[in-house]
Amino acid sequence: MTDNEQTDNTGEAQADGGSDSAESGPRQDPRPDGGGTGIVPPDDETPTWSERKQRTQGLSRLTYEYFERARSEDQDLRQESSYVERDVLAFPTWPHEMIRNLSLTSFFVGMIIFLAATLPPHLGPPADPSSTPAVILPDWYLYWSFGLLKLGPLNPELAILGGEKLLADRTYGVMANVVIVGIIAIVPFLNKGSARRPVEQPFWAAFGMAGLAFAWTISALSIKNLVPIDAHLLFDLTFLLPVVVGTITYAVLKSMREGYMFDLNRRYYRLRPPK
Amino acid sequence: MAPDTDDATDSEGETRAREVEVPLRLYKVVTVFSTMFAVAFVVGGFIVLDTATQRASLSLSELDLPLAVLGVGMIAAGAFVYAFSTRFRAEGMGKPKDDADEHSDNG
Amino acid sequence: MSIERKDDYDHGEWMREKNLTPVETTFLTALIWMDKRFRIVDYLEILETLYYRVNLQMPKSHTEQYNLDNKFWYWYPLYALGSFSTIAYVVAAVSGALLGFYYAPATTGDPSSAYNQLAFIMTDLNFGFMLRSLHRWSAQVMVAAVFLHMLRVYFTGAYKEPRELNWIIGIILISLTMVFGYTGYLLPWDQLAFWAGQIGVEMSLSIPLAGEWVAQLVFGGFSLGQATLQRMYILHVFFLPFVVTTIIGVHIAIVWIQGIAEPH
Repeated sequence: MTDNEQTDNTGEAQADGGSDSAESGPRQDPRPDGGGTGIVPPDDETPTWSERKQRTQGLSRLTYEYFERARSEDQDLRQESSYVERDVLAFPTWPHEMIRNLSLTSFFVGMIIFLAATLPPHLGPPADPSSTPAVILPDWYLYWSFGLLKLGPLNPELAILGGEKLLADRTYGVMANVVIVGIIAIVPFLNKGSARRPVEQPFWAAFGMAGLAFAWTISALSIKNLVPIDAHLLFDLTFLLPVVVGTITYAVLKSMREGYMFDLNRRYYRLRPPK
Repeated sequence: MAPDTDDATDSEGETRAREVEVPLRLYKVVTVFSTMFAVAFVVGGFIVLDTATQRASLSLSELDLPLAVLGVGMIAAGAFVYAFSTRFRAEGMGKPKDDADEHSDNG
Repeated sequence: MSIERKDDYDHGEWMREKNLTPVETTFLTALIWMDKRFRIVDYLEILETLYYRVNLQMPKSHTEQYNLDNKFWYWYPLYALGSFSTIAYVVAAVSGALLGFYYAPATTGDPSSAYNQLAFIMTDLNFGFMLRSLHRWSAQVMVAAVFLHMLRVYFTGAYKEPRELNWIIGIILISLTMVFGYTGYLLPWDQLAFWAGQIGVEMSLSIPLAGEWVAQLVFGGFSLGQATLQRMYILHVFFLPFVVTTIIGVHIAIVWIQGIAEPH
């Protein structure tokens, strides 16, 4: 441990514990590292919350020291490990994340109820196999998949088969779904390391933005008879726009990177000083 | 209200909300009971106001004026109780606006 | 807790020396009078003690511990999207269970019983319109939240190294969510539902090799009818709820074990 961390630890010990040094009077309770079991059964003397908060004696002190020791041992181990330079850290899910999420989600549930009350769903005419409606649509979240079915023009006509297509257009569309899901699934196996922010990896951010743009354009393609753009133009845009969006994202992030990485590296340096 | 020695003025001499430091236990009493009263008054005030106006369906001439005034008064009283209770602080409690352990720079 | 009360205070004496205004004195006296009669604060203190006994020590959050970007809270709503979709799922489950009391998956009659039941729910049943509205909106919102959740995870790199498994489980979940939505979309058995079902049959018939088998299994034949609606219903209210709930449980458990991947 370097001096830097030592001060960090003591600072942390006092951060929410009140004055540690000021009240360290005669301490007759068992110290955790001075032999004995160090286990104090709860009894009449179980400290109140305010005493516990001060963490100066008794069970509270013991608990605190136990946690602190566990934490610092953990930190030492991580420091010594040479497995990765900046290993994975995480928020504890409980309590911070859960409490935060509960408060935020309760607001959103209110929003659901509000939407349900103000915008009730529509019930169309009953099913009639004999009359095909002008517009056939799935729910909006399946538009992308529906759009992939309309990729017929991309289906190669193979010269070997005498201009025949290897797969029917429909089959081609269904397979496109599998390809898309497959690409998304292998992302974590291609992109490793501990970079988190988009600026750190402009390529992957650009890839993501292109994918997002493609999701929108392919959805627009799926409802092409409702979109006031020429069908051929729309088809071309479906593939051009994602590339444009990806390129712009890449360019912007690349140019942001230099100034940003200085800050980030300084932060990483503080987090995990090199040995 | 007489200016108090506690914290009636801050460093710039600007007058600010009066703050009274009370023991922790009393602070809890103040918080719990005044919140309870405030909620009861405000909710009750709205109920009374609803009754006086028949859920806002009556015209201005038909409504029960004394009851309506009572309702508005109760809402105001609830608000006052709550606002009044905010001047009490337990010892060691920071003044929210002065707490400077948040820095605006990144780390 | 010892029997003797910890901080009994001589409030009268204290107030005299404190130089309070008459209003404040009255206010405090009244509240102390209330407190002596209704010891609510005592019970709240017991709750407080219990709370802190359970959480012997609140761990510091990552941001606190390493003094990171204190503006990080801007992003919290995006970090709540996973929870949000879970909550929307719960809302959909509850309202769906209630709708289940009134729905019948039958194509008999003209218009079909299913459609008639829907019309009954929306026009005659007390609170039925709201119930259906709630179910539909929570489903829509769940799908939207799941999509956004996936984007958040992608752009904050939260799918990386130790979390690949959860990313894949997430992909399975998002697919199942869409299947959930699709099967529900068919249940009203109106024109939209029928023709969306038609597309579904054609899509499954287009699957190489297994196409006909899949169409038979999922849609109960190559043309839509009673069997289709029945299967969609069973998928929607019996099969998928168990499967999706289990996978959500696993997904969340893994998040719980691994912690929330934070951006540095």
